[in-house]
Amino acid sequence: MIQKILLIIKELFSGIFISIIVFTVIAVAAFSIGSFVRIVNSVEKSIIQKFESAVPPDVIKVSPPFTGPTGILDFLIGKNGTPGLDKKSVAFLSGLKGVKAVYPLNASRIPMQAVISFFGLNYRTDLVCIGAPEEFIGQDINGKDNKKEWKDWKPGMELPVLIPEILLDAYNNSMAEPNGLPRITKNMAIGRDLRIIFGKSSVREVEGFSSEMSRVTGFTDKVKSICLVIPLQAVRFYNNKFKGGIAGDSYICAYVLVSSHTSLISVSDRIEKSGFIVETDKALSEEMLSFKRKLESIFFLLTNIVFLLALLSMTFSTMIAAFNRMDYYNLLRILGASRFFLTLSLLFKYSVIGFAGSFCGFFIMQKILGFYVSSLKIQGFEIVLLTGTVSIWSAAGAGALISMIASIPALLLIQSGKMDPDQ
Amino acid sequence: MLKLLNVKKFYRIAGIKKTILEDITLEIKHGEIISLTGKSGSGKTTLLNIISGLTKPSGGDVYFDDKKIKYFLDIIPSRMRCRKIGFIFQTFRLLPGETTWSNVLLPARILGRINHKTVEYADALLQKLGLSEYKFSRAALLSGGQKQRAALARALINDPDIILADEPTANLDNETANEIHNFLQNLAREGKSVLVVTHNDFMFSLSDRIYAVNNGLLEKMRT
Repeated sequence: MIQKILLIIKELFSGIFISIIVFTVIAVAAFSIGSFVRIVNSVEKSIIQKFESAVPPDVIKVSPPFTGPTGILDFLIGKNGTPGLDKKSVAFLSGLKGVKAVYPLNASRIPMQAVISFFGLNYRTDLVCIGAPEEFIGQDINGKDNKKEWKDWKPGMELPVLIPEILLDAYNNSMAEPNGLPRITKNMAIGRDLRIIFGKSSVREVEGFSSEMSRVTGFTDKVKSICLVIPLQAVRFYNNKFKGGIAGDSYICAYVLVSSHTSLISVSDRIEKSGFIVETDKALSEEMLSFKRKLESIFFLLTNIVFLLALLSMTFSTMIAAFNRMDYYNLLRILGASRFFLTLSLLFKYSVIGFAGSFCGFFIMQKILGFYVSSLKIQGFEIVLLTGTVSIWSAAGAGALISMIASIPALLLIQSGKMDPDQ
Repeated sequence: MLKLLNVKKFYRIAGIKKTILEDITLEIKHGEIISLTGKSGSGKTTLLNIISGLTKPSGGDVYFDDKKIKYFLDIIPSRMRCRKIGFIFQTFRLLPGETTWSNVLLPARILGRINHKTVEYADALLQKLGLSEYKFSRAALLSGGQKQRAALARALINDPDIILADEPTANLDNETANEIHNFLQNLAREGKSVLVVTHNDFMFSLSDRIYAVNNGLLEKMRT
């Protein structure tokens, strides 16, 4: 038995010149496949990330389905509708795959007025306030202190306010001129004080209404309603104060942030199916996905071409080397070696060469790829090299398997050893 | 010792049946030298392939020591070939990069049995064949006669019962050829059977029987 094992090991080092060639070809092939796949994946990922960061997916505005009175009867019996977006709904939205964050917004449900002074004149208007968490509109608040104030607002503190850009546009385009009021720019408005009267409007007044000092801290395009945006906890506080907790924890809408364009499509479809009203720019995401798919197809094709070429070179070199040893195997067969022994010997030899070649090729690739990629830098476009998903052992195993498969034609020939090889 | 009963061999080439051997019956006893002759392509080598278990006959049976060779399980004819048959070829078929010693021990390695007796026997064989001083020479560097003698040593290393020789002296000069023929005769005297494919008159003169393979049939030429 030991002699047979020695014979198999001896065969491993026989025909060493051809074996070195096969080893080199396999190492180069493994290097090429490994480096190409990783570079292409990294480039593809970098391009997609670049596009996704330049054109991020839109936020999804989710509103509860309309359940208000559908006729005079509903109105008469007091069925004024129930808000459908509660804590449970928010939890459901948060749990959807691809959702990064959910920001529920609460609306004031009490009469309100705002008084603002411009050029010594007081302007008073009825309004609605929407409460938003700092995490959602934080980027639009000017100054760190204001952000902190928004986050930590408590009754008695000055109220930070954000103005939706849609409100500014509506005022400047439709209200200012007809009412003889000045047009307002962002710079004029930011930092300006105003008074908000909670519990009183031009239509109705609630007992115990109060006037609070507040300050404009910025503009936001995230809330697309004609309203003022104030801290969420302030809306909760005043709703509870004047409605005695009736308003509860229901939300008028929620803004859902998704991780990618792909998620935007799937998440918005899923929310719609659940019966909520969804507002978002799907077309942009669909365009992005189409671009991504095209890019992936091109890279997939290129990867497969390289993979095929490397595979062919590995297969042919192994095959040629195995055929080169046919005379030896034929002699062993005549001298009494069984087909099983010869098959084992051949498979062992080429699996070891395949394993070692792939291992070395992959190892070298891992060592020098970082340097290679850093030299690929294009101005304004940095390629971040992805961590390889294939382990060196898997690659070496695949190399061994390919070499073993490539030696099958030679194995078939071994099955027919003859006294006269030319016969 | 070796018996062939109604052995047939045919191939199908492009759907056409081509008969190589037809109804061959032959018996070889211990210590006999049998010569086979015939035109090129007449089926002599095919007959050797069938005897050695390398090729399965299309019909008939081959018996070795009254045991029928079963071809369905490769390991059985392979083992028989390794233990009981020694091979000599016209082209020597040594491993050129290996030493004479390594070439001689190859069948013993295949059998998986190398012990001090094998080593002593190999040494004795090399001495007997005048190759002791070439023990560690690469086979590629040996002369034609030396190569064939090394091949003879290789054929004998597992102490086989029969030597199958396929035109062993076709590539050698007369003097060296006669040395090989004499050596084969000595082997027969020691009780080993020798089946040799040859066209050499001297070999014929040493043979117990001579057969010609002609149109797939075995024709006895003389005893």
